[in-house]
Amino acid sequence: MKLLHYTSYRYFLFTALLTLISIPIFYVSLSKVFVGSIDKDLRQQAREIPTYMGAIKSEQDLALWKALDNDLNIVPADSSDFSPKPFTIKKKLPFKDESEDFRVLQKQVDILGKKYIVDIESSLIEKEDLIRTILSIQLGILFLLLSGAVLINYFINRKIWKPFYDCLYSLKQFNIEHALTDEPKELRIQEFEQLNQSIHVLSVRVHQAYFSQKEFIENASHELQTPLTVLKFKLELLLQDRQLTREQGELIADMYREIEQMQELNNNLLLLSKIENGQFVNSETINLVDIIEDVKDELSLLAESKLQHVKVRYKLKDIILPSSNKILLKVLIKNLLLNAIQYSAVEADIWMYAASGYLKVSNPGRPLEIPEEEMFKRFGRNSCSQKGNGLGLSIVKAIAQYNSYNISYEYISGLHNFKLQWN
Amino acid sequence: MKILIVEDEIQLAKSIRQYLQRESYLCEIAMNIEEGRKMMDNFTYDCILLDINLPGGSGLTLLKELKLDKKMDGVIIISARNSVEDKITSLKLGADDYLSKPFHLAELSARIEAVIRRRYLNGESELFFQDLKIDTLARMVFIRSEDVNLTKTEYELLLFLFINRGRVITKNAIAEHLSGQSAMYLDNFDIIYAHVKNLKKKLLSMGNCIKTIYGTGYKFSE
Repeated sequence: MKLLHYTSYRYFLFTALLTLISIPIFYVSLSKVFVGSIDKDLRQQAREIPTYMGAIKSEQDLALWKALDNDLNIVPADSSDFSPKPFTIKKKLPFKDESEDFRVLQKQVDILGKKYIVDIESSLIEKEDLIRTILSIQLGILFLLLSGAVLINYFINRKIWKPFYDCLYSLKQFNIEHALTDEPKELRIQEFEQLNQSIHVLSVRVHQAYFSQKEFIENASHELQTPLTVLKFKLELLLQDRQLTREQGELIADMYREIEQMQELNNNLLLLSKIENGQFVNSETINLVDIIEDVKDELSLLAESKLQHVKVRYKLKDIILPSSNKILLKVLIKNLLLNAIQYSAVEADIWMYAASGYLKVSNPGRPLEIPEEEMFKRFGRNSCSQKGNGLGLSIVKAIAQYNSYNISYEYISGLHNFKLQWN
Repeated sequence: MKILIVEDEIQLAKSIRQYLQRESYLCEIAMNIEEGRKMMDNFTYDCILLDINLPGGSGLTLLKELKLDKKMDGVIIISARNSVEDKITSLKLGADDYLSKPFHLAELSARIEAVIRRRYLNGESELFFQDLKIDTLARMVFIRSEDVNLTKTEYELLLFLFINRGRVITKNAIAEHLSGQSAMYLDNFDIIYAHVKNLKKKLLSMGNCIKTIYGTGYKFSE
């Protein structure tokens, strides 16, 4: 849920609840006020009754009065209960189907010496109409207020949170290779100002740490190169000694081999740094077919040692890759094929298929023991029994990224498939 | 044969010199641009090993000067790995070969031999050893004028061992010569063993010219 929606939603809920509660309260108090005013009216009429009494001189007058005044109902005192307070009754009118509410006030009077109870009635039908009208007007206003408030709140919030979203956007765009270059904008709201400042400082620090780490790896690898080469040369010279026993020779050969491994690791680290530093130019037009044939040739001894067959199919005679780098592309394809050879059993068939937009390398093998995402990470190798330094696929990934190619992996029916796509 | 090594790492230069001196090579070392320039001006070498990164400038400047002077010395450029620009520039400037670090001394000596052969034997592309003849142009091998049918790998192997004759060549160096940097991914050297065995069988009439040095590698000798 978005922050803006969250606050707007809360706001809407609160106002809706308030409206819902306010309607019955409003209704009850409004009808109380109305009934009160009718009661006041009825009392006023009751007070005026004695003045009419004087005019009644005979039974006929009484009868006439009864007949003429609809709002009055005169009954002898002994035939009805008396209630001193006004009350509400339901009464069916002769010309209407439904019964209606009436407010009644009773008053005891003496007419021509006899006791009577006079019911003074007032219809409440107007009250219902009035309350309904008032309520609907009120509801309308409430609704307008509500929607207005929610909308205003939405827009204000949107404006308030804008720096926050800007900040979020710049964080999403953040690339460790480049520190955030723009100075943080001056903002009215202190908290956002502080947030921006902190992020800026953080990004600069992260970038510096990354940069110095990279520099360190590059320098360390570079500095290691010469001593390793010297060591290797000395061992090669030592091997020429005719006095060497077989055991000594084997020891030296083992050391020699380990130094080779170290040198390869070192070279791979250096290569990774160079790629990440953008020290290669992508400006060559390359025929992929030539590169694949070269790589296949170079690795033929390795495949032969495992009795494997590398089978390559080309969809086209020439597969041209514009603006690429020959060295890097060769390293990429070599590492892919090397990986396939290493992770396939003896006598396996390794397939390469090159089309105009992609290259696929497939080799049989058991499913991965590590998560796929781990595969392209440095030193993220599938099992420890393999030779190599665990940098091969991360170099593949780095080169693919450098050239804006896409490298993907799939395991389908016993085959590991790597797919390199360009364009 | 006179070789000049222009290399600022004294230990590297000394190792190269020591390795090459076993042959009839006479090696001199220059440790910076100035020294190198002076020696190249004053003497003629059969082959110059030129490092690119030198104190005082790039080794390629020396190569340019050499070519401007119309000198015929063979030049092998030695440089850090994977700098394709260096390789292209070097070859364009007229270097005979380019070797990227790290390399095997055996590989270096094979390259030097090839450069010298190309330059000074004037198209003389045949190598002889007792009854053995290697025609490097046709890539054919003869024993007493009889054609020996070798596979591509066996031919490369024989040539490599032959050029480094008299020296122990590690299986690593052989594997790397035959397969480039991927040699270190070999689980074992059985494949090298198998090829050497086949090669020995085919050269049987020559006697045991390829000797197995147990635990380390092979040596081509009388």
